[in-house]
Amino acid sequence: MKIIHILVLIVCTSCVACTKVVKLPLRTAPPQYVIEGNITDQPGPYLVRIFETTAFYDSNSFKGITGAMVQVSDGRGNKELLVDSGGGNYYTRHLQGLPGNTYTLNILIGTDTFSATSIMPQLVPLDAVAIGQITNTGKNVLVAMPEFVNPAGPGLSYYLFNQTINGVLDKTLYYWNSQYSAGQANGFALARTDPDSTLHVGDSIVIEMQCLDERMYKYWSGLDAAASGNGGSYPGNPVTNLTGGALGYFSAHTSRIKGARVN
Amino acid sequence: MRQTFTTMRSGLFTLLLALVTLYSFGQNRYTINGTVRDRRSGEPMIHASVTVEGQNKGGITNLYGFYSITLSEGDYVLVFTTVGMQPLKDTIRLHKNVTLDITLNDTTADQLKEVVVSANEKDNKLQGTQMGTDRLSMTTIRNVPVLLGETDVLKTIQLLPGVASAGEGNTGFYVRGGAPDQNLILLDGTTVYNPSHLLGLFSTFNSDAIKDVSVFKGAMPPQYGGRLSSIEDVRMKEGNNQAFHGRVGEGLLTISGELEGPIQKKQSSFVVAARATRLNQALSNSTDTTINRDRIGFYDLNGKFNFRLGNRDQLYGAGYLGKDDLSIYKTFGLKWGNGVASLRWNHVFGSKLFTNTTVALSNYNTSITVYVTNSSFDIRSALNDYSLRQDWEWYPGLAHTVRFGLQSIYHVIAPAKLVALPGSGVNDSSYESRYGWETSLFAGDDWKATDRLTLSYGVRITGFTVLGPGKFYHLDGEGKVKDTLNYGSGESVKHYINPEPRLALGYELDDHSTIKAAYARNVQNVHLLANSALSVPTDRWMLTNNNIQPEIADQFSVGYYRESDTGNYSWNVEAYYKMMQHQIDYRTGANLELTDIVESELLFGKGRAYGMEAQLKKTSGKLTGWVSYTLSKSQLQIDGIDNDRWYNSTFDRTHNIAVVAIYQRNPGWTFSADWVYYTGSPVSYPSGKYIADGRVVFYYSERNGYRLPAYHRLDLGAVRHFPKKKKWYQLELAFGVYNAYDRLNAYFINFRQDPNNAAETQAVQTSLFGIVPYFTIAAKF
Repeated sequence: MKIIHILVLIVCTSCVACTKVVKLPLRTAPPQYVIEGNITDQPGPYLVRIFETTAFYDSNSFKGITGAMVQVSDGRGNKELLVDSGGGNYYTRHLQGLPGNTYTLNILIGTDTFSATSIMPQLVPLDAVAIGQITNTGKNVLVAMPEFVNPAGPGLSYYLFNQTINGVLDKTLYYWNSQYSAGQANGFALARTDPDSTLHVGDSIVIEMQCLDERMYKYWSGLDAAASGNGGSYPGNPVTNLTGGALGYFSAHTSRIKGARVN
Repeated sequence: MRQTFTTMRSGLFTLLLALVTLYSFGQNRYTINGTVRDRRSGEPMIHASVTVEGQNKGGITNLYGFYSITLSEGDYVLVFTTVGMQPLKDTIRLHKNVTLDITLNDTTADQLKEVVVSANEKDNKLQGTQMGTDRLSMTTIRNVPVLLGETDVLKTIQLLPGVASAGEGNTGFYVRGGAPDQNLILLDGTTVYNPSHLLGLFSTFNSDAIKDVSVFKGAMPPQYGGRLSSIEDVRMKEGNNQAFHGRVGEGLLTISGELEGPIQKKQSSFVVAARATRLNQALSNSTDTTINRDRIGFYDLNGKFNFRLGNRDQLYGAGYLGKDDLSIYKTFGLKWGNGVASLRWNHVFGSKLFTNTTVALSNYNTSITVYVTNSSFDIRSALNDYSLRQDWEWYPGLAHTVRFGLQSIYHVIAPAKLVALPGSGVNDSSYESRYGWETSLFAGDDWKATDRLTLSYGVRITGFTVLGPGKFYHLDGEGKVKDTLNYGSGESVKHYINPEPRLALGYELDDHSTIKAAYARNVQNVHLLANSALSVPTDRWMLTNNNIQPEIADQFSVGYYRESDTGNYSWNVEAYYKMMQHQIDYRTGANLELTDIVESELLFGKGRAYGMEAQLKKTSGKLTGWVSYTLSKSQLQIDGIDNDRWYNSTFDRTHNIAVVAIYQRNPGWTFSADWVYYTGSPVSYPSGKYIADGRVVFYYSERNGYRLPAYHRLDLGAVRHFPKKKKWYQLELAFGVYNAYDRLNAYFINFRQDPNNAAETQAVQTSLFGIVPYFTIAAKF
């Protein structure tokens, strides 16, 4: 009987899911414009970045586009032309983001125009960040657990979390919504999909909680499923709220940051 | 006026007289009918041949072994033949209707040996009009080496021309460029929705209980329908009605058993088969506390009984129950299962009319357990089909076999129900169940018009009624809800009616070759939404509704079939062209599992698939086998994808080659090998990259513009039948190796940041199986 068990385990482990790095003959498309615009309810300035895509096998440095006309308005009569600070970065000067406003972005680069709207939802406050232990793919890991209460509705709240560990951005995208949790305290933890899926004692973590509108939520969930390279859904470009054919997004969201130390 | 009337009347009278005279001119016609069975076990022989010796006339038995032949009064010698059995001749003096039940003997004397002498699929391709079909004998299925030694009907089908594997270890398959949900898999006529265990590693069909498998690749006769690409008609054994027999086997991962026998000798019998994995034992013995609480495994149970009630009636009951459990402790749980049950009654009216009435239930259910910090919740889904089927087969004369009937299925799908434990931070909720009623009427005739020409013509009409209760939506171009309509229970939301004409002809050029041509339209009302090439049991089934129209396929095919003079070899070539409408694809990154209004994530368009299949078979002698080659293309054009261009669908396989060889050295040893090669699936690779919120994102400029590397693999196997030596059981040992030259075929390729260099990105290929040896031991009694 024992031998059978050993054999069974051997069979199961004899190259099941072996991986190797391969070099693919990829065709590079001409560079596409990428726009990242973020308006938050924290004090400004707010940043809109314009840059270009680069080839897959090139290094991750992206050429910024200067000389564009970038305008943001808040639907309450406040309009601002952003300052071109070079390197593809455009900053607001006076605008203050407020929940409930519909923000509109308009961009002119040469003869190409791009625009987007995003609604900043009402704030769902981040009460605290706790550190707890869960089981993730069979291992006991330490994770951050954002503490907040989902609004009871009507309507849904959409969230995006960014976690920074010892100053380095955690690449996992954390996003969820209140559809099944209306009125309930949050039960989800930030479970990393990185091979090193645990926090370590002594780590200093910073959590940003964003409340977004539905279109931006779908952008992040679509991006994670189809464009982050992990082979989930059929690959493709996430549905963006930008018109005009640019990649990227324009997001008006509330932002709360809390830090914690892992003991 | 009066003159004309008289002329007309006399003309009509003359015509009638002529007809009556013609009909009765020395031609008293009588019918011979009966059932053809295996003498040793009582199993009815499906599609056995009944021919009049010396004349090119006859018929075949139906799925229950029943035949009916009408001839003019006289003396005849009838010849009964079928695969693996010795032919039987019977002399008949025909001067009244006669019932003649026949039993045939195995070609080998020893009843416990496998019947391998002519381990062939002589599916009479030369006769009739049936195109794009294959029949597999269980002998071949048992001898073909497969992954982990588990003989698997659905994996062996993937070695036939026109059938492409959906990927390593996957029981899903594409027939003539169609999606996996376009194949209707029937167990004794009832639909099995998820015919795979453990994410596709094994099929739900326990080979110990199966008698016959027929595959129709598109040009199906009118009594079949419901899916666009194919029908896999899997028939279970009836059970030996004379003596008890069985088989117990143990493999690397599973143990299985089968028992069959009479309830009342020669009148009724039963068969029971069971199979379960042994993995959980190994897991729970592990000292690692995270492994010993994992559960990976499945079980399945097949049962069937039949009763002969007098000379004209037979009653059958059959059931299948299977459950899978893939639970990783505190990480996720995945459970799913199929259950199928049917009750069937056959009756013979007179001597020419055979009827079958079936009521059946098919259930498919899944349960996903999601773990959150201190608790968990379940997402459950269920699909239920309640069906009634009535078939008539009428054999008016040798030249015609008429089949007509109706099939009605009431579908209920409960897409997702959330059951939350306290502390999970999640509320109980459920999506609305969906209801639909699908009814098909069919009628068709197989007409042997001349000695050489056979014509099959018929029509199937499928109606689908979308039913309440529930909310139904009108959507705008972006998938946003414009309007919500409420319907009450049983209220009809929308009707769809689709005629499906079926037409086929076969012309025998000479005694050894035939050409055929066919046209068929097929309609599909149940759709599997799968937003990824890897099949997962959580993929979602949907019914046709006010936004999702029935899928339609029109297929034209032509073929040439030739047998060598000695009958040892046969080869055939078939070409097809298929046009599909109302094909479904998804908005990028769509989440299909937890979306109530799933239609807002769907995009629609058309498809086309065409190709040529060639097969060379050696059907007798010590060495048998076949070589099949398919050259094909399958494309989609969906509004909203890839700028509305035609693109290669995931089911496109340019070249698909299978070589199968089975060598029966002597009754004690059988060796087999198979080699498969196919062009890699179309995939989308990035054409660039950028950054969003600090993460690297890949840019795609085209859909399916690349292909995975070609797939090929060699499997070797051997089966040793130990000599019987006065024991009441016989031992059998099967061993072999899957992927003998250890090729690491690409299962999927994904992209990530180089773990050693944050400024670079790289492509990573994952392979599922390297070389995997297997052995199984079985005892047959």
